[in-house]
Amino acid sequence: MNAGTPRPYRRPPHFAWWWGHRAYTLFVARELTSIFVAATALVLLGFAWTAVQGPDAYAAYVAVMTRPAAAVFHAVALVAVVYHALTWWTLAPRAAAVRVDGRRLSPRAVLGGAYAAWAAASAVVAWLVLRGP
Amino acid sequence: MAEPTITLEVWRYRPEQDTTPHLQPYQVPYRPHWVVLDAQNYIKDHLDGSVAYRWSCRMGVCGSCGMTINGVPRLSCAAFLKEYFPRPVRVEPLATFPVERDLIVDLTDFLEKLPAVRPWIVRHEAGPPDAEFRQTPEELEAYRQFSMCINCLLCYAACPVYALEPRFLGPAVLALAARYTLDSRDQGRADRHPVVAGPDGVWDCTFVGECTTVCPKDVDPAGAIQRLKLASALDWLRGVVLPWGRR
Repeated sequence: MNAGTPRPYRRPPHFAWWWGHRAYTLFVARELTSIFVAATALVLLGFAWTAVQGPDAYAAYVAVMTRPAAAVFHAVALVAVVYHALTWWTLAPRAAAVRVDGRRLSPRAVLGGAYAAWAAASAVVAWLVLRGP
Repeated sequence: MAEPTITLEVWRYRPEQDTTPHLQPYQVPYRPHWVVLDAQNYIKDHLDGSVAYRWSCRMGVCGSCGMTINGVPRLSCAAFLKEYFPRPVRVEPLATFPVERDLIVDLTDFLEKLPAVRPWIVRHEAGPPDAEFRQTPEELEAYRQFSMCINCLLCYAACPVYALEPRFLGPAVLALAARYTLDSRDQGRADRHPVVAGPDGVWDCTFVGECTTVCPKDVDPAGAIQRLKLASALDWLRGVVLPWGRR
């Protein structure tokens, strides 16, 4: 043995580093919900794509998307996307230092503004979708 | 009545004789006003002089005594025994850094990365100014929080990105980049940009946010990094939308 030789001990990262620590577990859960966000985006793009193809293609796509398995996916995806969106907004005040009149807005005000913008955007989308032909 | 005691389980690694680390338990007097560092000093003075650890100021200013205490990166001078009593206290070195001996970690990686972001006020005019730089309270407030860093590196121990991607510049280095970039006296934003927005810079951060949670000085490195991301994205956007306006 080389007595006196520096031999730093390196701890290999544990493959389950995110397990057993609440903040890390919630973070990884949030990252995994990104898969559902992407999948939901693709599903929605599918509606737009088939609508361009014609009424038959659109009807066939709607038929696939209303099957029980697809309904289960939509339910799980909704929970995942809402979790992702809520945690996204929670992080927003820390990323955006919004200054009004020389003073930094409180996190609560930034969060309130974000939720208000979200609600307004959702209302516009709902109006566009529900107003009928 | 006998004085109550508390168990300190101390991570031991002596490179000349150990191939793997182990936890060594010590019984120390429990005194509610003691912090973990007091208990460590008791061990050093009365039980086992061979335990190696860093400390200096005992008041959360020097940043020397960062350790992992019951799984959480903390300053041992700010972690009171009463927070853990009567359960044992497990003291380990800061995670993510190589361990030299016992609780002493090798900080070379951080020290080599730090100069890359030019953590000083960069001025492009030749020579020193004729008078002091003046700042309004608002200009001071823009960076003051980020100037509170004591380089204790608890944020690196809490960062899973740094653990998995050691090339990542890391929270404290990037918070210091923000501290100088947000300073009204500084002109070094463009000089720091290639490093800050480079492959090992802010975009490696996935915003776990634990660096901010463990920071003993409320520096908010996670917030600093997100703001640098925003600035970097806006710079890029300006370059795309207004290429003639690129500075």
